[in-house]
Amino acid sequence: MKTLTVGKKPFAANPWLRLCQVAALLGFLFALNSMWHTTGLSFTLFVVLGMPALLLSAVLTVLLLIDDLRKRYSLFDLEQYEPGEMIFRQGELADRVYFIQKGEVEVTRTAEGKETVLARLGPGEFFGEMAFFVSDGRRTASVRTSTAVELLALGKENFTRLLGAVPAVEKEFSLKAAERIKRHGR
Amino acid sequence: MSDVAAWLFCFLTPVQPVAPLPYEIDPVLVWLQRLSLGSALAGILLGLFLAVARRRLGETSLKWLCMGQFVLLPLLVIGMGNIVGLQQAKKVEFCQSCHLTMGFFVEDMEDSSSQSLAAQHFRNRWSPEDQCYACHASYGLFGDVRAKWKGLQDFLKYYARTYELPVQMHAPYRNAECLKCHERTPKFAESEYHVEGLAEIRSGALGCLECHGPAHAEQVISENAHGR
Repeated sequence: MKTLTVGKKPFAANPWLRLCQVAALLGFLFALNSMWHTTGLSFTLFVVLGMPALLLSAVLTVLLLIDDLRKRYSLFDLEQYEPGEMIFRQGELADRVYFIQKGEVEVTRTAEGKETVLARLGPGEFFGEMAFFVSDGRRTASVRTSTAVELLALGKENFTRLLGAVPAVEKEFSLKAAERIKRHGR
Repeated sequence: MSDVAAWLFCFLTPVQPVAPLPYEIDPVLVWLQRLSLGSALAGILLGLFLAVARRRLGETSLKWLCMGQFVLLPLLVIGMGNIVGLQQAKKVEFCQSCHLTMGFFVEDMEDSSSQSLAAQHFRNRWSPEDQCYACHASYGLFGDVRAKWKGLQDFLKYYARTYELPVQMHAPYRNAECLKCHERTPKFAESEYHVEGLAEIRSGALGCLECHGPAHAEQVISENAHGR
């Protein structure tokens, strides 16, 4: 699963970096002690405490750098669904907006026990944004896949930030939401 | 606690107990020691610099510095530190730094009038360097590892005060430690006792020290000698 970069904290602010620093400093001090004057105690302390501290620092830093690269070069989560799978249900709390890459989905709404198909969406279209514009953060319809589907999912927090950062994008989504409300109601 | 503190900060007291002779210095080891010392120092200085300036550095510079300080330097120090440490660990001074009560054995070994086996080996340069290690650790990688592993156990027992008095050897002295040097020598083969009893000697049924011992001068150890 890929994660988002919008609003990502700078690498320097990563709190795990401080742990790396402390571990490395301890490890280097034990190493210095052992190298300067090798005695049974100084070498044992290096092996028992210094080496694990240095290894912890190295492994943690590599993981942090990999994680940073992953965040830097990925914006969306990639999600894949089989035909007939439910992506979300009407009334559920919304946490993301979806952009269709491959396949087709069916948008349905249930009112008074009767299910109505509102739309069929395909590649290049998006859905899931209505919850952030017109309702209290809950899904206004259900979405089920008609075929095998590949979606790019953008999380709620980053979607909101994106709208705030790029007014043109917000305008585009608002217009689409207004059009959908006009056609199908809230 | 005072001895722990003194050893913990032994880098503040740069004393080399015995200055090695020029031909006893291994230049590779010396350079490895210098490199690992330099790397450890560089790691500390770079760490202090990063602690102060990390928020002022650009993302890319910071990541390269982190890569160097937290990944490359630690791996260098671990690699070189182990090589240097394991080599230094063969020296008599190193053994004596933990085996405090065996200082008597070292003094006896260096005593030119002593007739103990250890003293004869030392005096005649049969065992020219790393004398403790030459007779008390088996050859090969696993001999070293086993010796260090037992050393680590003893270290923990000493500081946890979980050892039993009187202190005893882990196992009876193995004939293999003598045979690894002596068995194929002409002098060894000259002795009819060695030839006739070779199987028993090899199996340990007949101990070398039973005829040739003791290896060290006898020592009376008081209970106070162990710091209790």
